[in-house]
Amino acid sequence: MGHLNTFIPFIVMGITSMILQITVLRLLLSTFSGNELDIGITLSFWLIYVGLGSYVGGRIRLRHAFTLSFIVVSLLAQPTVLMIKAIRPALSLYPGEAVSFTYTILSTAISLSPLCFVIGLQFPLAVSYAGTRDAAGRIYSLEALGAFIGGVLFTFVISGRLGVMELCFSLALINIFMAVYISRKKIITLLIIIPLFFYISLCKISTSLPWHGIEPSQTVESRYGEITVIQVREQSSIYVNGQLFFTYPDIPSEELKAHLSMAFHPSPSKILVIGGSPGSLKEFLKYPVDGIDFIELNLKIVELSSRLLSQQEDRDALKDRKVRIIVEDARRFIKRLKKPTYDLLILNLPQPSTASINRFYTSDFFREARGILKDNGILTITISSSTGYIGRRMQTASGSIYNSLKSVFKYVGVTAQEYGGLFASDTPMNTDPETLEDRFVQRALKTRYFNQYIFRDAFSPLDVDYVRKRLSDIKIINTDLQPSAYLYNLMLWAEVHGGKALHCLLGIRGWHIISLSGVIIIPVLFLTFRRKRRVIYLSIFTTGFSSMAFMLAIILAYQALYGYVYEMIGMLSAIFMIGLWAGASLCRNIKNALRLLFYLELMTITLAFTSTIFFKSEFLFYVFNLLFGTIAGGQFSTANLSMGEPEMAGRLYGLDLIGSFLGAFIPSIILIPLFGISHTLLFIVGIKTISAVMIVSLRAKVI
Amino acid sequence: MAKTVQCELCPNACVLENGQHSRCRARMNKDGVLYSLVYGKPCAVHVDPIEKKPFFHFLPGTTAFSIATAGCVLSCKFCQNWQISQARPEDTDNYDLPPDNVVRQAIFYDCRSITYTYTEPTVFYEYMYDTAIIAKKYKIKNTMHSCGYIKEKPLRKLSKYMDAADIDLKAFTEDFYNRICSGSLKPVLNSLVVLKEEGVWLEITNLVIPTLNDDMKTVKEMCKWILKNLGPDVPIHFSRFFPHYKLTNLPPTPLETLTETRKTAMDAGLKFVYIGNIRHEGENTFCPKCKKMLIERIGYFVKQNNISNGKCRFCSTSIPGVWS
Amino acid sequence: MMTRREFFRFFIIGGILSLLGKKVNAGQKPKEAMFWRRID
Ligand code: SF4
Repeated sequence: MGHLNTFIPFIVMGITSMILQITVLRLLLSTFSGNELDIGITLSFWLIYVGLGSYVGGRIRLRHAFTLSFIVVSLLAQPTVLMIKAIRPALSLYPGEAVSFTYTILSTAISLSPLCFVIGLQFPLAVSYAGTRDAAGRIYSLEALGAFIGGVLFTFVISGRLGVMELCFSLALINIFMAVYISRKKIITLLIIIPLFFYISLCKISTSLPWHGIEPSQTVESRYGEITVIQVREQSSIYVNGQLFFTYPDIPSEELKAHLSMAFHPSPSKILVIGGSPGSLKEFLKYPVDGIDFIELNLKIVELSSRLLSQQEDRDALKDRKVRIIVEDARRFIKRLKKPTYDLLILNLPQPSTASINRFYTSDFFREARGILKDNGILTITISSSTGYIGRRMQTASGSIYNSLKSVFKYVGVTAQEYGGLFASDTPMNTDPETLEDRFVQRALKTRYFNQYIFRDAFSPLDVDYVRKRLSDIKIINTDLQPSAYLYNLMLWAEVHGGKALHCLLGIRGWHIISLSGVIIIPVLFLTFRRKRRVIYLSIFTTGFSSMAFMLAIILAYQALYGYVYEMIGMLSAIFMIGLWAGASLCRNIKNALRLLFYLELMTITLAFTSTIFFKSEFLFYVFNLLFGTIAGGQFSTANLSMGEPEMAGRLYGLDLIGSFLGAFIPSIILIPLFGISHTLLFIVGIKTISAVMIVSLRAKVI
Repeated sequence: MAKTVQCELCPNACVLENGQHSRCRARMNKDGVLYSLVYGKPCAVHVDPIEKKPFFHFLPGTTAFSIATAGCVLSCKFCQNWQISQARPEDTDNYDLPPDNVVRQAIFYDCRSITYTYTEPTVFYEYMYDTAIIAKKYKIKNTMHSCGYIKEKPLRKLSKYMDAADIDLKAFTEDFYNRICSGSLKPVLNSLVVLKEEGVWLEITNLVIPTLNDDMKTVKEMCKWILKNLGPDVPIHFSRFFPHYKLTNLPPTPLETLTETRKTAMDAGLKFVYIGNIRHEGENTFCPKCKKMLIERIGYFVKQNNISNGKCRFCSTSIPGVWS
Repeated sequence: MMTRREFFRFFIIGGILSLLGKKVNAGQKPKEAMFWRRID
């Protein structure tokens, strides 16, 4: 066996699996309209199938099994993508309808199964291919290294450049070449025809498939997700990850947005608009303003929407020298600005049903926003609108936003429920419909659909009173680290899109978790007390659990604080993998493995306790991730060593995976959404303490 | 002895075992007797301009005392009132407002009419019926906004007290009613004919949803049916879809679609065709004869009204509707 | 998360409330519906 041969295939394994994992994750996210809970669900199924695969793989005694596995991976990549894209039509959902929670889980489970199973098979096959006894550890680290490379590649090279179909095609090619490389049979190259065929024939179908009959006029890959344009007559609608962002042209809505907000301020001259349709810019320009800053994170959306502008006025507005388009994360922009600059800040974002959007509805954000508003500056926000009645779930969701605003600003006003408006300021605002009407009439603006009578409707005292009363009942505050509005919007979502399952989940209380854990832990304590092998099993299991739970907590904390995990998910996973690799290699030749294992447990606990320090800056996030990966890798390696029996490696790997599966599944659907990130970290501390104590029980006896 | 009952109020014709709740969530079988769970318990109570219902040929410029309880006989995926319509009465925060109090409040707020609206008033039939009788005594008019999914017998009985009805004709295909609303079209068409026969003032609302019911051929068919069975005088409102409930990711209706539907309906021979929710000449009422503007509306507000004694002020053509 | 004390407090208050709730409900007479028939 040549020298190269001993590491290239294993690295390719890692690269392929990491890139596929990220691709599939992003695809599923857009199928399920961008909810981050899916990250955990996808990861957990990924892990369980990989685990199953590796279990089965350990029993395969085929001669060319390793070669074959590369071929199968290469042939499965594209069909898996297609399968995910077919989820929506298969459930016969209309465009715009969301997938219910139960189907989210089910379809994730089904669509991932074949590919992940084969990816799982590869690890034991690789071990038996390498042939040597100590191969497992080395391959584990090489695969981790490959995964790191894959993550970096994805983040910096692939993301936003290569479409899903191209990417899968390239991966298929690489894997076929790998098969040729290992087996030295050139004939395998002929198989390229199959991915090529898929690529050519399915490229077209795959873009229109999720839209069930409507032909998207454009699809663009961006770092923050897939952008799709749907055209109905003259009107284009822009979707990001399957979620409707805005429709253009939609003059009635554009006018409503602009003129309703502008009426609150006696003389607005500097305006900041966050997100939404560039179509509203021309409306602001009708006022004698000094400057309008329009901020949007995604460059691709800006480019795309400026190309779509069909109205001359809108194109002119974009070129107007008073208008400044800023491509940046709005929160970062505001944080940096600090000094009072704007008279009006208009938040034009969807409801906070994802953690990344929730960042713009927290009291932390409102405080930052207040800092850049001038003395009588006003912040306006849109909440869910309704007619007739505000249901309890919507009341809590909108109420928590209202209350967070009130915790920061002296004055907070509301509109009638059909308009779903909130506006906040530190100086009293006049919301008497007649005053607003007069102000609007005096400004003598030319509008097509907006008119002074709208104020009578939007600020009819009876209706405003109703909304205010309804929202005031809620006393919860939405913050960055306790994102309650996000949770309540999720509940609202559950009410709309059904899913009894989600409803039950949302009913879980803290004491349910505590008592259930008690019931599970007590027998575990009895079974493992002072039994070396079982203690090691427990330690490996909890390592798997806590590393996955940690990973998710980090991803979601990152999302809640800095937003846009889509962009960095590759990087975060990559760093974690390199940590795993480093940890595993550092701990390969250790004398007193059991003692080290104990210390590693202690380190995990300390890290979990101190994690909030690491959330302070973006850089520390990566440090934290790296540290945690290293510890987890070290634990896997030391547990292996302290077992002293190499044959047990497979079983340990399996336990690690089961732990990881539960560690991804339970936190992502229960712990994090219901109890927040800090409580999840506490839970990890608890679990790790138990396994540390069990090791101590051994040391008393063995060492 | 079996204590099963069957409701005969709407075409769903629920068969309920003892203790079972109905599909509309507002009724329940207790020991072999069917009870209404929402009598006197509205969750939505508002004072709205009557144009918001929408009624354009019924006391323009007046306000309507509007009430609704939880529950609905259909389950449309685009419902904008889903928070009440798809809720159970025990899950909403309800007022305690018996029929006589509704009328008292309507008088207090100076409303000329009471509207049973927001959800499907059929589900609170008893409450509506009792309120309507009292209202009539006090010279307050009764109006309802309904999907027309109700059986003939109860509808005829109600018609004695109902002055006007705005019926949602959601689409003109059984398929749409089946798949999107879990109901059927035929009973709705029948209700329209019955209301007409009973002499209740009738207006029709059609929500135009992109890709789901915006096919002009079907719109034309629908208008032809209206013309033939209800006559050319029935006002029809085409309103704009906004993403709601389960269809939150469907784009809003393009304006051109609405103007085209309006044109289709006018070409088919309907005399009063309106576009709802949008400032457009389609908000105004024009005299079918002299073509002059009779009622100018902006949003829900009436700017000028040139109808006197039910006649066009310019050419004295009588304009169908309830004007005083 | 909830402490045990809190749990018991909720448990007892919840119990009392639900008993009271039953009482209150029993006091209200639901309205018999129109348009239905028995099928035996
Ligand atoms: S009114 Fe309600 S209970 Fe009666 S048949 Fe219709 S859905 Fe069933």
